[in-house]
Amino acid sequence: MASQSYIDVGMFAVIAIGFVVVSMWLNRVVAPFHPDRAKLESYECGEDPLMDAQINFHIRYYVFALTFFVFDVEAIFMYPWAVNFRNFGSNALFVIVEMFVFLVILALGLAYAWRKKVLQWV
Amino acid sequence: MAIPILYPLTLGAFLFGVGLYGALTKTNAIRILMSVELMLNAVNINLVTFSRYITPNNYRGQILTVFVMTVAAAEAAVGLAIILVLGRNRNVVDIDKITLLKG
Amino acid sequence: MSFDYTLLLPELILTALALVVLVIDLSLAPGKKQSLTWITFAGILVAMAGIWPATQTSASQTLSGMVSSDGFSIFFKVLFLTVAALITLASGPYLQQKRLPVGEFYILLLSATLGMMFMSGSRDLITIYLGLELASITSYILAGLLREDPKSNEAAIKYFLNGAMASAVLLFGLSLVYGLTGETHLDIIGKVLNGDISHWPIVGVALVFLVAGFGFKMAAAPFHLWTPDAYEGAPTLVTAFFAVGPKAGAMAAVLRAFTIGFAASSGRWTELFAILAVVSMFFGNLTALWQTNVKRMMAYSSIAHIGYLLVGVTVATTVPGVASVMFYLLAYAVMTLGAFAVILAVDAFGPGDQVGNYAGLATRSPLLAWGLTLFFVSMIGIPPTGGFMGKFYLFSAAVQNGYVWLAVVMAINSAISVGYYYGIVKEMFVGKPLETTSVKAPAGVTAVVAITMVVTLMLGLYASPFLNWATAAAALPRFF
Repeated sequence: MASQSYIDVGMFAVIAIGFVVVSMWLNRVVAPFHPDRAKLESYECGEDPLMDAQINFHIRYYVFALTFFVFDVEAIFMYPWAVNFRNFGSNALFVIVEMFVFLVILALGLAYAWRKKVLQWV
Repeated sequence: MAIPILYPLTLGAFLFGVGLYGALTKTNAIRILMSVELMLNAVNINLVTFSRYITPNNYRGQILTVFVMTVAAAEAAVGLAIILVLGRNRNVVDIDKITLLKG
Repeated sequence: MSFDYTLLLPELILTALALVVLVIDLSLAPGKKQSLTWITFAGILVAMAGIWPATQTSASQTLSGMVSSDGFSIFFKVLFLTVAALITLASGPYLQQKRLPVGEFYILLLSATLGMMFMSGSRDLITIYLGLELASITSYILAGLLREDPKSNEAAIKYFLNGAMASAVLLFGLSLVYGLTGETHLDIIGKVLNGDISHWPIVGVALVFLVAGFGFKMAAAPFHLWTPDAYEGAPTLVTAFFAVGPKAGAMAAVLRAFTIGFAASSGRWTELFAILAVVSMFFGNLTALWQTNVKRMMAYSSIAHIGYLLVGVTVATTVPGVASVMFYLLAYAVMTLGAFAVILAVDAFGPGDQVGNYAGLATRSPLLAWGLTLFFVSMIGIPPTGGFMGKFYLFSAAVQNGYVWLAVVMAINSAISVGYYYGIVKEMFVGKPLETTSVKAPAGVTAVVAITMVVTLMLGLYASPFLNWATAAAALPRFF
């Protein structure tokens, strides 16, 4: 039983990799290929890259990232709530109110971030 | 069950060991934070393993895992904020160089 | 689904209060936030009144048995709310003077108190962990509240890194316990571990992880390394809170978790706590002798006091053991808050936080000087103070259960501690003051000093009602 599921996963992986390889190979065979300098740039149209990609990001990004991060993770509590919602039966109203209390607390957190001008780009 | 319980538990213990080693030996505050996160994830692996193998009908371990994940996120957010303020004021993230208080 | 609102009333009020303070804080203009102090203070009193309904019902468990509101947790809820109320009372002018963010301070203080209340009421590993983390994470922020002050930053980062690691260690222990028993509820863990399984080596491993994790949180030596720096660097008001709140919370969780969940393996964890007690007492007292910064000295002194408390935890398998820890925590909380109120006054509204700054305080501000003397007398354990009665009960609980050597170590350490407390008292009464003007302590701080002086004396002279209360709370049906 269990080994069957591994074979499934393996076949899925083979198909996924195979699809990429085949389509790239097909592209090589079918498409015309006449390179020049402009065409070999990373982004054919658009601006030339100016410097290294590994630079210091502005410190502002961290505040955004942290705010996003916290709210992002809190969403995890909504999944079990949503999945089990049908099973609550007569308690459904109570459970909805509970989730709204949770959301109100989160919303107050967001309001706090807003008032503290975390969401504003300076 | 195809995978013996020993495998995930060994992985958990190994990760915890790596995290603890990193937390105790590194001097960069962000690296220590990463090591601590590693330790917490080792705990998560343990909890999910126990929940799956020992009590398949009781999800308490997995519930605790969800809480550990969110608390770890909050902890990381607070920790990074503290490191950020420290970096802004003193321009260091190396805890060996933070010696205003003799500790 | 069992959800009894009346049992959780204080927690719910406190949560609502924190949110209300948040909203009001956002709507007030900067610099006009003095009203928040009184809103918070009144709210804490309302939360304390909210404990009343829980004492009237026979039900004691809620949230499917994860949280209990029995005499034990009510004792601790009263303690935590009193601490929060006293801190709030002393806070107003201090926050203004140090330019601390007012709203944030109260929100964090209330959240930390909420976490500690859950720690004392939890009967489940999940809620213990959540309460612990709520109290810890807010404490990290509180330590770093003086954002512009590098010392405060440093205190926050050291507290945070050590605390986060301790949480992970504790959690690993919890995961092992869950793996052994398949449950997170303490009652069931206690039943499962009652059999042969309690002799398995892995139980010992889990216990070591748990003791280490809780040891970090309550700052017992050798897990105390963050304490002196966090105490010295944090704003003095926050230090006062650290010295009492998180420690009492961790102590409550330890008393409940170990006596219910690990009653059958008590032979093992009592030994571990006895070792921690001895190391904490000696280390705290001996290191405190060399300190020149008063906040740092108080940090080492608090480590020593945790040592005394752990003597009681060592015999926590008996009702007098638990009751003596609870009584001493009460006395410790009162005298420590009082002492820190004086330190706060001298630090923020007077010369500073070095021992030399206390020179001649007796002539400058007699109330503060006599107050601090009384608190130190109580900390040493001289009658007629709460500290003496607390140490006496701890002592007799240890002797009754055959830990005479531990009681002797405790007595020796009390004698050692005279050394550093006497240094400051001498400085206050004999030292020549550099200035002659009195220290202008705000009314709130003076009120805290006066209240804690009265209560310290009351605990010393009329100890029996408080001890009866603690004994009744400790004697609840448990898993012996």
